[in-house]
Amino acid sequence: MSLPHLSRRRVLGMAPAVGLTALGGSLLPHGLLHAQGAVSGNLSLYTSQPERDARGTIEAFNTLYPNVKVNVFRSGTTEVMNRLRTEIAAGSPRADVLLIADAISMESLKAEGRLLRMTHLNTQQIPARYFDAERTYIGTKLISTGIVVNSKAAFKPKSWKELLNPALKGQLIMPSPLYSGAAALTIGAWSRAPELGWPFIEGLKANKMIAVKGNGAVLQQVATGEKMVGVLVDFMAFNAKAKGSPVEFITPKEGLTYVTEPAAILNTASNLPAAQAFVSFLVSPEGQKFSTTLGYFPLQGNIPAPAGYPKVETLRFLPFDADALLKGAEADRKRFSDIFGG
Amino acid sequence: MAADGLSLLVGRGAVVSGSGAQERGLLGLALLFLGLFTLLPAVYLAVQTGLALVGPTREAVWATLTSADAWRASRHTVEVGLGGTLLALVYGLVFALFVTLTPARPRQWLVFAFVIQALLPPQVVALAWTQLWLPLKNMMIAQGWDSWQAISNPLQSREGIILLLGIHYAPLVFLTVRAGLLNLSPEVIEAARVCGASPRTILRRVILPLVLPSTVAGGALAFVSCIGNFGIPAFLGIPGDYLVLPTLIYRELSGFGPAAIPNALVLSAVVALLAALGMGVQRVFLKRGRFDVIAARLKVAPFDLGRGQQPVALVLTVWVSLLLLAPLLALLAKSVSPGLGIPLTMQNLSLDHFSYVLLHNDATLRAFVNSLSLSLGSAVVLAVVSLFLAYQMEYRRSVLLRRLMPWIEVPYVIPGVVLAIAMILLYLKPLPLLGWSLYNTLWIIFFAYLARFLTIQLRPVLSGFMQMPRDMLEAAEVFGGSLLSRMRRIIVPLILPSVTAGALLVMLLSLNELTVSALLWASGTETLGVLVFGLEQGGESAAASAVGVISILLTLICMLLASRLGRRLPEGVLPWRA
Repeated sequence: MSLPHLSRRRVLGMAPAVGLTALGGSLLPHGLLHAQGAVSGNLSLYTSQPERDARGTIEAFNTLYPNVKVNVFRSGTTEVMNRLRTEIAAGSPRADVLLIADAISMESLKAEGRLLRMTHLNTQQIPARYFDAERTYIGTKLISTGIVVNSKAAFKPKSWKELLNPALKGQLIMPSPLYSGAAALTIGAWSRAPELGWPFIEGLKANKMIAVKGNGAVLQQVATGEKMVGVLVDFMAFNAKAKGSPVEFITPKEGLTYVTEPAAILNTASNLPAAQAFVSFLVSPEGQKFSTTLGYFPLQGNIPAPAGYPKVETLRFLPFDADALLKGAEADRKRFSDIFGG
Repeated sequence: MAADGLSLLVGRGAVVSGSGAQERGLLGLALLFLGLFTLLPAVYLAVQTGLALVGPTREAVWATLTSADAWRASRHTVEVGLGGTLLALVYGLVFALFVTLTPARPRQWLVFAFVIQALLPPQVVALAWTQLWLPLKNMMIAQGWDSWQAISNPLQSREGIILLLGIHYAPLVFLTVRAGLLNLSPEVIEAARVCGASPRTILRRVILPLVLPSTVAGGALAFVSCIGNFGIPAFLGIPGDYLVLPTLIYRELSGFGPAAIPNALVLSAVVALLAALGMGVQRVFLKRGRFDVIAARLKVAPFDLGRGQQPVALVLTVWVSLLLLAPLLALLAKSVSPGLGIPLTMQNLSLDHFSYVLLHNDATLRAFVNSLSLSLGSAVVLAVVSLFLAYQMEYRRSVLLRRLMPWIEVPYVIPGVVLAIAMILLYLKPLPLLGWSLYNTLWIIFFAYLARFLTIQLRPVLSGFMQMPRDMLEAAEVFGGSLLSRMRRIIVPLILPSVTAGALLVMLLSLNELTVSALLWASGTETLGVLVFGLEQGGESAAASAVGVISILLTLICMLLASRLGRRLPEGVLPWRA
């Protein structure tokens, strides 16, 4: 492994050492508090957040901005994007704010010139790799993908490579990148990692891994023991474990992959002040702390991870070139579907 | 009587025209409905498909159409379509014959347990069934058969998909055949018996030919439903790498950016084409003969399997109960489970998921109200419309309407997501003249359901009309009965079982509908399908199961209420009432 790991430590190093209270003070000067009441009207949010999380996020936002009524369209990333694209095709997109799993769809919207540049955002605390350089979209949380194993598994892999071990034949499951944004980024990172590459992905198929529609199905099958080892997003594994399910989340030796659940404002937004307030809230310390209560790693290094989670310093990531990955996403998916079919 | 009916049919065109103005007005209304709600989205999609084939996207579209994936998915679609239909036909027909023609006991439960299969959301059924595999596998591993660990679920295969599709859609065949059987004249059977025909001969030479229209209608419904189904192949086929056209279309839309909409349209056209082929087969079958029967209803079961009666009834009872209760219990167990993979005991069962969906999620109640209103509304509106359309098609032999028939299938057979896209494109902008937009209201979902489920309602009613004694209708017309009074006094009482069979199917299908509303709902217009899908997708399958359990309970209550109210209705109006 010649490339350096992008460790949490480095992320912390990149963040200016500003105390939380000081930051809160700088973000919310006296005048802004008044402005919070002034932001009002309807805000149309299109999101792929899980039901419970979307509801909670809006409630938390409303405690700060009580006069904004958030109308949410919540569905899978696929449905959200289909709806938005169809609205665009019909000439009147209705979403103000978009909050979806991965940056790939954001890139395509950006290329079509649909996204607003969010120059209002305070991004001091956020590592640059978590937002678009032109600020058309910004990550809101860190969702890593690693290995989930059933506690009863006879063989527990310690690295991605060990998924190829014949002891796991027929016991492997992953979300398909054709449906899951997090999985799309995972295969992008795998295929570009020198020690893995496409031969690794072909090896997974040869080891009888199955690709299912979503992360929920992976958790389901691993927790019930139908499959022993899966590729899964962190929070689902940790939440299930907290409820007593017999699962363990393993950080592979080569490093985790991640998505940042980016938020963006459409440049056709009808309620710009509310849209800006909403995105600012998501990346503010308040918003970040709130998302840790839902079980997500925060993007800002100075906010502690949820209880029971590994220390953020211990997270290792599989290095990848974000630009190349986003641009190659479609080709990656095609190649994956050639190997895996469905 | 049947012969009289047949001889009258020869003089087709020579129909006496009665109260013409009223009838023309009603025909106009029916045509307007058809045009606005069914044909508009269908024709719009056809035009868009045509544009995709010749427009700037044509190269990509042709490449998709001729790709190995598309061919493979088309072949798979035909396989599961034919397999599922065959299974549904045999299973539904045998069951309908047994329950209707012999003194089957416990008939009420048999019919109920059988019919309710169609009501369970396909994706929930698929989930519940796959869960049944696990205990078996664990048992074998505990016996020392370690190699079982690596065996994938056998349901995740072509045969698994066909099996679940067949079980799921057999009630479509059952309901239409049973409506036909109940219209069967006891005199016909009696006549055959007096002439010395054995029960077997009567079945083969008299009964089966007479219920052929409804059997074929049910089979055609099952076929278009099988090839259009998304939930079952999505759950069983994607892991097994067995794609059908609806799952391929969904994959294209989800995986490959904005360019996929033309591809999706063209692939949908392939599904529509396959459906049209299925309909063509139905037409060929029905051309062979028309059978009109006076509708003195079958009151008592005319046959008895003798010594075989009790054992067969017992086997069938156990079988349908097992098919129903196994997945239901799996669902129930999941909804009270403390967490995934934790063995359920009496001590640790938890009602948290119920309290979450009922008390802490205001969307649940809204979703129930919305889905119930949508399904009742569509059932009532479509039932009325189908009467007038079927009257024009079958009695008046309207050539125009018959030509339009294939278009009525289009919104049902294409994947729901494609219909939803068409609805958005049509109704996003404010309506001309009125100035308001249907988008983000419950109406856009309602209109989509009216388009999607018309064929479900129309088919049983059409086959009901085919069995109706034409001479009776003509006599009424000759004596000057207006269309409305003929409807009220003659047609409706005769055809009510077919109408309610269709309406029930519409209700059941729209109550758990997912793929259309997944794109069309908004804050405040959630549907049950959307709610379950959202919970399931976020990894909260226990909460999703809780909603599933509540919705099944609710449906049971509705069915019981209907039975109570339906006591005064004629026999056969409520299909699950024996």
